[in-house]
Amino acid sequence: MTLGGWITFLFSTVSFTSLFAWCLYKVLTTPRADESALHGTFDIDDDD
Amino acid sequence: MNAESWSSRIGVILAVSGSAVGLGNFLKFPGQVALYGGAAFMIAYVISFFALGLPISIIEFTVGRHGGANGYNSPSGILGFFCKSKKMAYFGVLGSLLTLMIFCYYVYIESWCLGYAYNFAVGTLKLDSVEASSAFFADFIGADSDGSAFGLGLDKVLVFLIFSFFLNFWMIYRGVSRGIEFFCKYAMPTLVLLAIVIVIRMMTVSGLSPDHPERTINQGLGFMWNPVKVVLQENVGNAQNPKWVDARRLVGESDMSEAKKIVAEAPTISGSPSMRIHSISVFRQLQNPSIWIAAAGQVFFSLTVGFGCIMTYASYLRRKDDIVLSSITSCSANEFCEVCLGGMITVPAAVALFGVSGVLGAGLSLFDLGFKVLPLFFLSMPLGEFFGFLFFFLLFLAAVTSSLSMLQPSMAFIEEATGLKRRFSTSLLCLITFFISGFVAYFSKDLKAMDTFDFWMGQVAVYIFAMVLVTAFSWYFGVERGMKLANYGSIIKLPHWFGFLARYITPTVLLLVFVVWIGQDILGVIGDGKLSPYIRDLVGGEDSPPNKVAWKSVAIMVMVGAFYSLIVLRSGRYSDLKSLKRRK
Repeated sequence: MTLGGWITFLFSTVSFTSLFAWCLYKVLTTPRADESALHGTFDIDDDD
Repeated sequence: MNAESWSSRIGVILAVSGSAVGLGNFLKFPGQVALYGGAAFMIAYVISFFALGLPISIIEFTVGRHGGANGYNSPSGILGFFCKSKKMAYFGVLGSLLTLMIFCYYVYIESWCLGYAYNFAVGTLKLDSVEASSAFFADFIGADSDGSAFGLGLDKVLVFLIFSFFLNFWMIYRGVSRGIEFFCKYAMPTLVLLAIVIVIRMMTVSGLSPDHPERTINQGLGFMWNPVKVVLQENVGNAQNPKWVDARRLVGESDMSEAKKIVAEAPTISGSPSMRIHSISVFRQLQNPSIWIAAAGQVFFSLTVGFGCIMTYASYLRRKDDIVLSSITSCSANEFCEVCLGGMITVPAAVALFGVSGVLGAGLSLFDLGFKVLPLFFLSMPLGEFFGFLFFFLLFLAAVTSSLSMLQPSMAFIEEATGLKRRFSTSLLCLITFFISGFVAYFSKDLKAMDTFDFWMGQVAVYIFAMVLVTAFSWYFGVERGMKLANYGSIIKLPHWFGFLARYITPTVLLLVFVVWIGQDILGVIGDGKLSPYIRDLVGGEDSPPNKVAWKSVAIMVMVGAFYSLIVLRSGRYSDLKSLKRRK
């Protein structure tokens, strides 16, 4: 593999791994919506 | 009001990621990167990811959660409610139909993976050449003649097909949380772990071809990722009007020195060389429209966006669940599996055993690489049967998590439209799919039935469904209102430019790819001028009559579509959608 190949390979893999790791971190550290809001119409006016 | 819901946020993310991560990640993506060149393909791929894949995923999540919050879970109900139109409920039938049809052949491929995993585990695979491997594959899946897949015994696919089929239905019967989420919660981490183990083993493999020391994992990685494509070309024209055609790809020092020798020894044509070594830059490669179609297609199909699966899954979210973060996370999980894991296994392994020319000769298609070349690679390495079992079991898990997502839109549709209890709706769906999957597996000669379903439902219908979905969101419902819905409950707010992207760029790119695909690969207006074989199967060619299996396959699709449309017509669930339309 050439130097250009290594750069392409590392840039691609590191970028997507970082994005995935950051997303996982945010998902695991952010609390989920409260139980009372299971379903039902939105508080915002979605039809206007 | 619907009682079903995901039990955790990570559960829905794993389920959506599972829906996206499939055979294409591990078998098709590496072949595409290798074929079109590393950096050039990745540039087109990343642009397609942000312009096409991610926006459509966010749109599907938004539309789905909105429908679910108002009691609709099927593509018909979700789209009908979103556009306040019964016509869109009819159109939504396409989402349930195409996913069901894809399931019917996908479960067949799924059973191949399970069959290979079993045969590796018990050590019955004894293959020593590509020919032997191809023969085993054809015999196992019944590609030689119709009905030959239906033999009993563990050297035939039927037993594995039945097991895979009922595993899917067992999970679907258990429901969204206790079935799909439960399975994906275990399957996805297991899948990633297995892939990491295989990648580590792959990277430490050496000396598979003692007679060809140049064939290494490093050469395979170079074949995939080197940005500048170097090819040996032959002049098939004359000295005045040279016409250079590619003779072979060159990767590594050994290939280069051999090619230089060939060029030096090649005869001349009127004093001009008949062979040359030619480098194709990244910029030049990007001028080829095929690379953009391939990259956009890979992103689109790999993420399973625009199928109707994500919107169905999203309809079981809570109304304040963060859909922007969930969408980005599931898309990035798919990319991680595709680029970081899938991209490091298949092609490097194949090149290490057969060399670049051997791999190109055997083919870079999904089935060629996965079921003909890779088994030989595993069998040629120490503990190969164990690692072969791990790899095909990994593929099986990836396939099941995808096929579950293909069943759920129809399941939701039947439950929602008919009001049938879970037991009856599962039985009805099981009956329909049992016959269609049986049809696909029976008409296995040249995989004609499967290919026909894949073309009309897995490609044409998906493009149409995705285009209408994006248009409905951006132009009918309105980007501003859509973004307001998406941002509701999200910790990451969609930036303003997302509106521009969703309104102009995404539909344009989607339309462009569809039109070029139709022009180039279907009608042959662009390129070689040949009509697609799938069209020729229906209309017949100069020396061949229309194919009966292809026609029967199309008839099945039409019949199931008509049955679903009849359900919408008779169902009371979609009757009042029009009255919800806001008064102007």
